[in-house]
Amino acid sequence: MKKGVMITLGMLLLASIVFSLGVLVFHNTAYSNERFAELALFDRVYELDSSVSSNLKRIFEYESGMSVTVKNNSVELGETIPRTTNYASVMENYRDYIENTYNTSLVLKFDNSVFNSVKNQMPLLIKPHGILYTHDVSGDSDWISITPESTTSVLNYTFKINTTADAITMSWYTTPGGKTITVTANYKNGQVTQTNAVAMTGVIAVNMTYTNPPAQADGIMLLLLPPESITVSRGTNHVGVETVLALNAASDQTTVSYPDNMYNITFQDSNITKTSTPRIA
Amino acid sequence: MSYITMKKHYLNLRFGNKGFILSLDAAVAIFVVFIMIAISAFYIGRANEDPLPKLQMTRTGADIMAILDYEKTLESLDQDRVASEIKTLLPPNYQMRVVINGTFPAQVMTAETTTEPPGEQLIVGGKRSFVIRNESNEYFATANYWMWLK
Repeated sequence: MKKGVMITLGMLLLASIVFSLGVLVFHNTAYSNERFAELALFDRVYELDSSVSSNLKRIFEYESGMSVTVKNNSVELGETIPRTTNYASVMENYRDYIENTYNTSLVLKFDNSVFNSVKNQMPLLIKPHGILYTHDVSGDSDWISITPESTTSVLNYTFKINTTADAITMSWYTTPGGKTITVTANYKNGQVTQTNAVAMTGVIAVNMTYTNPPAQADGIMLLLLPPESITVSRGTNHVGVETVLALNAASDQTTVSYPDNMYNITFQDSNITKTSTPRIA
Repeated sequence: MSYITMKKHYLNLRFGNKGFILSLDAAVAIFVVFIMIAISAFYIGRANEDPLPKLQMTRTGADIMAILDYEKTLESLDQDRVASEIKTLLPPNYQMRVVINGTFPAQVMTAETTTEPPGEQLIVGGKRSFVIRNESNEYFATANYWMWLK
């Protein structure tokens, strides 16, 4: 009798163990299915963000007319002013295309104010140093504006201005101070380089003379504005401007990107939202 | 006088009630055990539908498209080049189909590893947008892709 009871109980215990394991495995799979669905959504959002970021970077490379090089302790930016590319219209066309492509379950929308500033002024943010390199366009004017958020972010400035002028002179209307600025102006048969430690107020004038008919004079002005901002104005002729910003803190994490929160990706059927901005360099 | 007490047999069996009860007990126990094992087998059978291989296939497709984009293979709009790159990158147990369309003037482009339809099996897909520079013009395109097991 006892043996029978023991055998029965033993079989019941074994079956219960097998049953419990089966239930555990089933619940684990149900959990895995939920995680799979979430991961699949996250992957789609990530892929779209990666794709759009790459596309905007490529449009910058093709149409901005700028070169950006990031080194450990400096950032070099080069361009020709005034700008003659189709950057603004290409950006506008791209926005229309990508927003129409992703407008159902996965929706991409650009922030209008950020996008318009990027399209018109091409602002670049140098992180983590907090330096804004942007362009001010007003009528026929075309300015480069460099504004660090802190007076200690940039150790010194180097400007290289490439012209086709026949002669160049430089005039410094500045006062002595703690910021070193080097200006090199290249003309047809030579160059002029001057370095001064100045306070961030005043003007550096680069005067260019063209003798080919029609003979003309032109000028580029570097406006130094307190507490620390430099604006490079264009002249009548196209000139190349290469800017080297020597950074106060060397960092291998220096990046150049557009302003934050340029576009937003939303999955309509869930609460997944990602706000992002492309990295240029 | 002495009395002999006899147990009354409820059934006309050789070994009496004990044998019947034992057999009945065993039968019930086996029945219960079989039910539990059957339910366990059902649960474990359902659990074999592991979603991780599906996720792996999705990510493989996305990675392949990202590589084609970064190497500017998609931008070339060269059907043979895209198909060749896909065959190089694709793991041997997958099939893949890519269809590219956009604002460029050429026709819709298709690159695939097989012309046979996938049949009744799981197909994962996605899309990746890219920019094409052609001389002085910019075009925008989207590559839609589908993957399934061989």
